[in-house]
Amino acid sequence: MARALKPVDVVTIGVGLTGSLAALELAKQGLKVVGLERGAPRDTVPDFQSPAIHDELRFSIRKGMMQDNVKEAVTFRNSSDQTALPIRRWESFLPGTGLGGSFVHWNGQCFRFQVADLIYKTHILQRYGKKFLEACGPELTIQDWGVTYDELEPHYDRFEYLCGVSGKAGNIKGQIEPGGNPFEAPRSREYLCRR
Amino acid sequence: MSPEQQDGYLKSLEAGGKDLGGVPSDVFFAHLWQSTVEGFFSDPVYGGNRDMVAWQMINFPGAYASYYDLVDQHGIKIDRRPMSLAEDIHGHVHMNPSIPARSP
Repeated sequence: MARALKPVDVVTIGVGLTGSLAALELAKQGLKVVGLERGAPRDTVPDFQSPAIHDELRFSIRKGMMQDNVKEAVTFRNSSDQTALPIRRWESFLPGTGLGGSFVHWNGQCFRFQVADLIYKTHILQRYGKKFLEACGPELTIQDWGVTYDELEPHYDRFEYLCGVSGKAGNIKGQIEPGGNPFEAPRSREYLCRR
Repeated sequence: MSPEQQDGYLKSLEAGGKDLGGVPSDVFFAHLWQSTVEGFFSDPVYGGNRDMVAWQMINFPGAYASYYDLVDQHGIKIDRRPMSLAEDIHGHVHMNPSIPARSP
C-alpha cells in the first residue's frame, strides 16, 4: 500500500550530475530537497576505496557501474530496415546508475558547444537556404535548442571554474589568443587551470 | 575425446558455421574464450587464478592499493609478490566468487 511521506519543496528524479547540482543550489536557497535515485546507496568509502575500485573485471570489463541491462535493456539498430535488438554488452555509450549517475565515471572532457551548434537550424538556413533543408525530406528533424551560446556562456564559465577545467583559451571576448583553438566560441576569461 | 579431437572440435567452433541451437559457434567460442581468460587472469577473489599463478607467469604485480612511495621513481623493476583484492593485511586471501559483477 502506498505510504504518504511528509511533503518536501522539491524532489529530483535522479541524483546524477544534473540532479545533484540542482539539489545543491535549491538547498542553498533554503528549500527542502529529496533526491530519488535507483540502485544501492554508495559512498566514497568503501565503494570507491582502493584497491577494490581497481577491479578490472568488475568495472572495466563487466561495466559494474553501468545500468544493468539484464533488468533494463536498451535496443539498438543501425538502420531503419533492421529489427532493433537488445544491447547485451555496453560498448559505444555507457549509461550510469546509482548515486552520482554517469558523472561518477565521467571522462572529465568538458568541451563547449560552438555558437552554431545551439542554433543549428537557423545556421543551416542562413548558410544553405530553405531548399537545402526541404531536400533532406521529413526525416530531418533539426531544431534550434531554444537557448543561445551567449545566454549559456556565464554558466559554462561557472561550471568550468567549479570543476577546475584546464585548457588554453583561443578566443576571449572575440580576441584570438595565441596557443588556443582559434575556432572556439568566445569565452569571457581564460581557463582557471592551464594544461 | 582425445586431446587432439578436443582441440579439433574447439577449432571448428572458432571457425564458425556450426549452429549450436540458435547460437553461431564462433559467437559461442568468443564468449568461451573471454570467460576462460577472465577465469585465469582475474583476481583470485573470484575463485580462479589460484595462488596468483597467472599473475606470476606474466609478472603482473596485482592489486596494490597505492604506488605513492614509487610515483617519482623511474625505470625501477616491480618484482614484488603479486597481491590480490581479496588479501587481508596478513596475506590471507578471502575468496568471494559471489561479488556481483554489477551494482545491485
